[in-house]
Amino acid sequence: MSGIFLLVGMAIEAISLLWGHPTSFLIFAIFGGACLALGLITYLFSLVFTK
Amino acid sequence: MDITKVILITFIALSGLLVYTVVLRPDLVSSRGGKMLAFIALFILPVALAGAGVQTHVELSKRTEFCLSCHIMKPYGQSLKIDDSGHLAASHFVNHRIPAGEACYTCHTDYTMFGPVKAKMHGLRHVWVWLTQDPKPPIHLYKPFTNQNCLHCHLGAKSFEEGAVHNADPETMPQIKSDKLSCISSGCHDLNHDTMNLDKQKFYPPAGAAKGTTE
Repeated sequence: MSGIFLLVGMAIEAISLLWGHPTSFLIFAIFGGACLALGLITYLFSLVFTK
Repeated sequence: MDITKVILITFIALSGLLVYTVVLRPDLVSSRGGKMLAFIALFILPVALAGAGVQTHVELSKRTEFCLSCHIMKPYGQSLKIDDSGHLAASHFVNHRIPAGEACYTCHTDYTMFGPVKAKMHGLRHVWVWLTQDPKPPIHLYKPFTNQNCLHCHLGAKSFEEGAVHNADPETMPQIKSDKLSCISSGCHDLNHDTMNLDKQKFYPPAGAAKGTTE
């Protein structure tokens, strides 16, 4: 789950860098940032709560 | 393409491959080494890449073509190329008194500790204003242009410090330096981005000349 979020986040980051338009920063910050954050949180939760 | 972008995108691709491997082969992470690999792939690399992504986007946003990529900024880009030394912005741009690749950023960023961050916040505000207010040209600054943006380069320069007009009155120089007398709106250097009269101007390089442009 975490890996999928991170892969989507990384893909958004790569696309936003290729585009280079002001809107691309917003897409990176909002959608890419959200996916990366979700991926990291999911992973950290799995470390803490998985037996 | 910019080498920084190429390097970062390559790292993103390699990290993505590593994440993909960890996702496809969960048995890999059962050992101690595998757990360390998963920690690197699922935490260290994404955090580092996100930071590098923000840094790269901030650097890209300093570029002149970045600012001019918004439709409403096109006339301001054209005004930079007016072939008339009386036009302040154009005379700086055409004569390369400011870096041509970062022209907007050079004059419109507060040179304080958090100047670049404030510039990014203004950028986000531009988007909000664009979405909610539908601005029409000519657009205006949110607050008066501060002299510090000029003095960042001109302070201490002979042409500024010993300029006849700047020293004609003993009160003038202290007022300029304390931002009480605006460089650009006190009747001195007030011809900046004359976007309403672009059709009457000559440009450098002339139309059709094979030279790099900002658009």
